[in-house]
Amino acid sequence: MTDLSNRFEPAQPVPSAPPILSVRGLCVTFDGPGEGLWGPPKKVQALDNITFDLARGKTLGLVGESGSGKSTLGRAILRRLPLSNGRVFFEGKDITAVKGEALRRLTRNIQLIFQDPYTSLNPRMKVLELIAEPLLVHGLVSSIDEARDQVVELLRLVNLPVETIDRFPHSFSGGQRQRIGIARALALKPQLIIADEPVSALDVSVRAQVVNLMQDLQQELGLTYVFIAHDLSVVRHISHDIAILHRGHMVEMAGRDAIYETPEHPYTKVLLSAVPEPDPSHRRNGGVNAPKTVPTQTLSFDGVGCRYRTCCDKAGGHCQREAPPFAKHEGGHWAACWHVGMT
Amino acid sequence: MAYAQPTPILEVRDLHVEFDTMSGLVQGLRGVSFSVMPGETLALVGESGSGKSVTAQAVMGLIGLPGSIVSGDILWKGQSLLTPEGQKKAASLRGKSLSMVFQDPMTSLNPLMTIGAHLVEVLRRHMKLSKPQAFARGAELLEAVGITEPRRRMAQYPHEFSGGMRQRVMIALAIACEPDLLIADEPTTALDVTIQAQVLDLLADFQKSMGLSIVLITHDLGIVAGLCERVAVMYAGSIVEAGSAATVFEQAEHPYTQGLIRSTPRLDDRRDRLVSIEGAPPSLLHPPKGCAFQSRCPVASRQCDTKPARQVTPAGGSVSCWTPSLPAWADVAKTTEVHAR
Repeated sequence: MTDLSNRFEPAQPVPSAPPILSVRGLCVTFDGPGEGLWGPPKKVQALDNITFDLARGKTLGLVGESGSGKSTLGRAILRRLPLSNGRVFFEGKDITAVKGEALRRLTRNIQLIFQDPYTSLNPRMKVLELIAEPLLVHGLVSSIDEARDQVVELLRLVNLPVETIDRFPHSFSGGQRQRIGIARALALKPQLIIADEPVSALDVSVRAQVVNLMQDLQQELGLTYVFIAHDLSVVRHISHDIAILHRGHMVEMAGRDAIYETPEHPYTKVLLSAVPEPDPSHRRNGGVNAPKTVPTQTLSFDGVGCRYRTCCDKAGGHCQREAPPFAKHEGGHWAACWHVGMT
Repeated sequence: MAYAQPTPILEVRDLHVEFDTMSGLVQGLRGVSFSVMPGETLALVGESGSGKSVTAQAVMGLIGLPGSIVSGDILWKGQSLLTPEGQKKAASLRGKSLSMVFQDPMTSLNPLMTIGAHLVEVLRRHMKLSKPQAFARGAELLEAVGITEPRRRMAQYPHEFSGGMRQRVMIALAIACEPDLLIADEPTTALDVTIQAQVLDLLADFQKSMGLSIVLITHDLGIVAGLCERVAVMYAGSIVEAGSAATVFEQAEHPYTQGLIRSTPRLDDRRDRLVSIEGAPPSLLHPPKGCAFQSRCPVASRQCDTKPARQVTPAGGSVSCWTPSLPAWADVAKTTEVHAR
């Protein structure tokens, strides 16, 4: 990889509250299919030079379309993937190279909430067993029955009736299942929770219940969230900061109101305009309001210049020659675009 | 065709569908009535399990065992599709004048057939074209849905297409026989937002250029607002509120509709908390006797133990509620204001 030091400014040190999570120049590379049957695998750059800080008790909304690397970033922070470059700091400690027993202890502090509550719960385990499993795995209890009190407490925390403790997942609705998933993630009293599209599979009216529950839990337990989403509609309510990913690059990061009210990067603007608004005055008149970028993810990229330029209507000569740095602009906006601040 | 009194292209009257499952009789639809006029776009909105897809399947004749249409009628241009003669007629309508776009573009195309073969099959079956004619028409259709290099693409297989492209192919297949009515069952749920916007624009385009009627089935009110003239909101197997999109969004009458609109996140909304409808929809195995929304309704009273009849609203819509137009969630809105920054 290129020298990272000149591609981003070092983060401003905040003396009062050091960030709970810091990611510096994180890169993940996968082996893609090669040429023909026996060709060497082609490298796929899933994440390139991701840098951000997340303060304790705050929520970072991570938004991107499919293939943008948002779930990969979540898994990389959890250390479930080999990083090809960059560093991850948790509570000031470098956890990039942690492995074995130390990694296991670390995962007590960083937990995951999955997207699909229908497939992420074992249908043959009762609620008690599901929620007690992490406690058992980490040796905090020696038997399931010993965990019963803690499980009851967790069920109360996520507003599920205590008498459901001996039921199987099939008797729950989607929203209730997601509550079980949240209780399971909370069992180890983690500091940081990575929620990978926790409400995408839920109905609209239930979505709000789960998002509100997550907010309550954050206030009560001082949790920090990385909230992954595929569009900008839900994240506004829960996030303090929002980062936009496009093809493995962070293209913009700012406070949530800044993202919605003064978006800087052209891709952020496209994402905002693509969200259908529940307001009949925003009628589609057949292509006129359509976002300009036709296939944002599918166009090939030859490796030089800005990755977004093939879909960008502002792209000029500079964009073709050199990739824009992910740099801090006015108003605390971080953006990777040559045109930001030039209007 | 000139109508003295316009006949709806599709009319569904008091439709009841039941599924005889191992755990008992599930009442999938409990008296659904609506009509679609020529050139009109109707949205069927509801949560999963509310019966919106079952309605589409009933119209398309896709209700298979253990399900069956128990009572009610489906009329195509004034003629029943459920009588023995009607069923014969329906078989020739479906796929031609009446077509459907399914939710999941990943599984609705045959992986062993090329894209061209899909199109040629439909065109030869319904439009009685010769093979070369069908091939040429198929390429035109692909071009119409915005697929570049259609002739090369015809020879490719579904796995070579992205999700958005496959959904475009599904739309091309659905409009291949110049249908009068298109039923789109959650056509964009599996797609990214930017791709979703393109697919919706495509549907809006065809509606304008072909005078197509569309029944759009969705759970996303945002999509409804952008595309549809009329909205029918479904809850627990029946339609609780119907009306023009403008009136339903501006002044929803039914507490469920009001709650649904409020719990849909909006980009211009600075509040920290979303309004949520507590609880979950009732089981249709033992549906409640009275109003189905009763258990989640903030303004429910004793009269809700009896099922409310459908009544016409001042704005020309219809609603099934004892206390329509009562602002059901006003108190909730107030508490959230306090939370706001």
